[in-house]
Amino acid sequence: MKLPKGEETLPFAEVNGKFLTLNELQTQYPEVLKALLQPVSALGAVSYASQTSSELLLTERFKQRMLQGRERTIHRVDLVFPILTPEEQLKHMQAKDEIGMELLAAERKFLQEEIRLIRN
Amino acid sequence: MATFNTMVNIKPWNALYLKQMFYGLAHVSDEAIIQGLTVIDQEAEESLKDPVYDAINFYDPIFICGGGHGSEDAFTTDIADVKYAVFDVFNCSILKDRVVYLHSCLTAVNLGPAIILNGALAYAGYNISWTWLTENADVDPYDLWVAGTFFKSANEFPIALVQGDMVGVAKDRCIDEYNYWINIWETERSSDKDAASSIKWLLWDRDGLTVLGNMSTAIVATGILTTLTTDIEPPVVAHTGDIITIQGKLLESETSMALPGKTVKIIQTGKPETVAVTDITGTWSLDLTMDKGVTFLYSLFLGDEDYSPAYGQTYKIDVGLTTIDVTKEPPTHAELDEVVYFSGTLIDKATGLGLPGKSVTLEGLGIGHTLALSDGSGNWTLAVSSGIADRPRIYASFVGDESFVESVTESYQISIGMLPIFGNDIKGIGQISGGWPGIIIGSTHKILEDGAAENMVAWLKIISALHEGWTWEVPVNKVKCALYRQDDLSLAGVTHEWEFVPFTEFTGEVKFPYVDKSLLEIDTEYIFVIWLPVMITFNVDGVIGYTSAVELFGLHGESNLISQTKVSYDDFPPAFLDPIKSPLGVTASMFCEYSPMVAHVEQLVELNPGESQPVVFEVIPKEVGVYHVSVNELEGTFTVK
Repeated sequence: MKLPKGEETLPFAEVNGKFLTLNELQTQYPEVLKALLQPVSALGAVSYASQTSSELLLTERFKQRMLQGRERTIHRVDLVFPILTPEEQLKHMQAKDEIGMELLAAERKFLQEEIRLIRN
Repeated sequence: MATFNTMVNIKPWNALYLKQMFYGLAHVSDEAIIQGLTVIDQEAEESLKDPVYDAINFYDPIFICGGGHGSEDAFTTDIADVKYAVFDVFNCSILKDRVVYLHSCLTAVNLGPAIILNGALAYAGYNISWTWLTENADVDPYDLWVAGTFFKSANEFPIALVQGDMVGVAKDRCIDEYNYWINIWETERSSDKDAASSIKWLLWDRDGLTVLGNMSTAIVATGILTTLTTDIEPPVVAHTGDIITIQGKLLESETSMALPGKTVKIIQTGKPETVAVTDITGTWSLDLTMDKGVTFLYSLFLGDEDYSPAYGQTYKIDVGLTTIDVTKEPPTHAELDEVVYFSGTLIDKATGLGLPGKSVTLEGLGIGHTLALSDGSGNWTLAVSSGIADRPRIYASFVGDESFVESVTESYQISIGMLPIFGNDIKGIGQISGGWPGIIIGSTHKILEDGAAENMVAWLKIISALHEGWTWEVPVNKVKCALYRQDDLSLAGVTHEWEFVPFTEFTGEVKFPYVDKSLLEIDTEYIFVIWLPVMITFNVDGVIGYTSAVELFGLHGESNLISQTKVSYDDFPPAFLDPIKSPLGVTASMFCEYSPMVAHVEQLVELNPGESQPVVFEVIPKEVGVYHVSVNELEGTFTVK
């Protein structure tokens, strides 16, 4: 298992107010990466992701993935917003409205999965 | 008991972006047919509520499978954009004794639990907005790589069921299927541009899957069909700690032959399973101790190598429930520090008798609780008094104890040190902002005693600006209110005007004194209306324009309907003529202050000097207290205890 192609170019963590990719984290803050990759419980991983993945970081990750052409229109069996283009998704995430918070939660869950992938 | 090996599959077609859902669910039907099940496809317009209900009532299927749009409270197949719920939290009792799978958004939040509470064997759905990616929303997702991963994952749940697996196994298979596709995206397809986004949403959907009810339930019966009867049914109501007996028989369906030595489970909400073994006559019996609250229970035979599973009827038992009847409502108003009374009876729902010795508290006054102890017949009386001028909504509450469940009365508004009111005084409700300066809408309200209208009070919002580049001339910068009777639509009263400065932001209550104190009649419905300047915007072929008018707004008939009749500002129509109705889904903060009136009784007595004659008046005192009586210059009092 490996990170999907292109994910290595996205900001992966925020350290001292700066967004860093995985490589940058490895070079500049190896101790942070080491702590992240230590075999810890799933709960610990979730905890790390929750603490480090700010909404700004998550939104930036989505935006860059969108600019790389790797985000699609999503369809939902939802009464209010059954279809959302990537641009609409980004607006909702930036606005942090109800839909935006759902989109951020999905992005956060995916970041937790990436941490799991790297650890394994 | 519903019919095994039978399913209704609800497959909307052209509804909002549901075409792909239609194709996806068709694969479930295909597999069910291969497995030999009877499949009733409710497609396109047949997926609406009435035909779905007809099919369920006719075929009595054990399995309801459906795709559609969802919310926390409802599942809908909204053909042609009509948001028309097939099932919602208040209308899902038809799903009793069935297994329900809703491929939809959010229904696991409230609708799923409601389905279980209405006696369904099991429910599966999502507590999130189920989301998918697709290369083409108009074709079968199984023919597409990206969309296929989503629909194949979700479909694994109903497909496992039609293949004979139990609900718990179906859940595991579904999660495994999601994980299978996530793993594909993380390995052999990790270089695909859709990999990241697909993993993200597959994780989201996987973790949103929610399965409730009995995990041992299956919809496919193999072997000889069996029947579980219930010969001694549990009671509808019981007391906490009661031991109730439920008894029945396990029989071969076709021959009614008894099946001895088989294990029958009793499934009871919130409690571990209990089991009984059938005797030589196929009889099983269990004694169950009742816990406080509402419980559902049913019997279950899981089946074995020779015999099919069977489910007994589901029963609902209310244990330790109470109700509070109000025998004397609090008055609509009281003076500051005046003591008025509120009475009722606390009742044991199981026996219908009063519950003695229980504490009942007064809630809502905001200055601490007043306590009463129910007497030997369950009767209680609460004293209501406050030194703070306010209009609280008060109610009586029994908080429950180890044996009995809590209950409350309805709430009553009491004006203390203020004029009583009728209408809606919840501030801010129903205000319309945006391009509608100063509009509120009203609703129809009933007055509970005779009175004289003093003021209309409305919550108004004046906006400070319109959309950029728009202009608007205010035709009238005045607002006034009126009151119409509901029964004959006649004008009952008109208020003085209130002037405002256009586009000067204002939000708050405005009091409109009535020109004349109109008489208000007890138990009569009145329509509140308000005259105010209205801006009407329109959009024709992309050109946005506006006009302005003064209109009469109010509410006619049912709640949440706005009536709209164009009249000139100073016109007071003698009757509220044939209003247009349009639902807006909101009610307004608007109420009428009135002075209560006591019925006035007169008798004329002519006496010659030296004569006397007894005069009798009938008075029905509404509350405990000292009453003052005067006849010409003769005065006296009487006391009501």
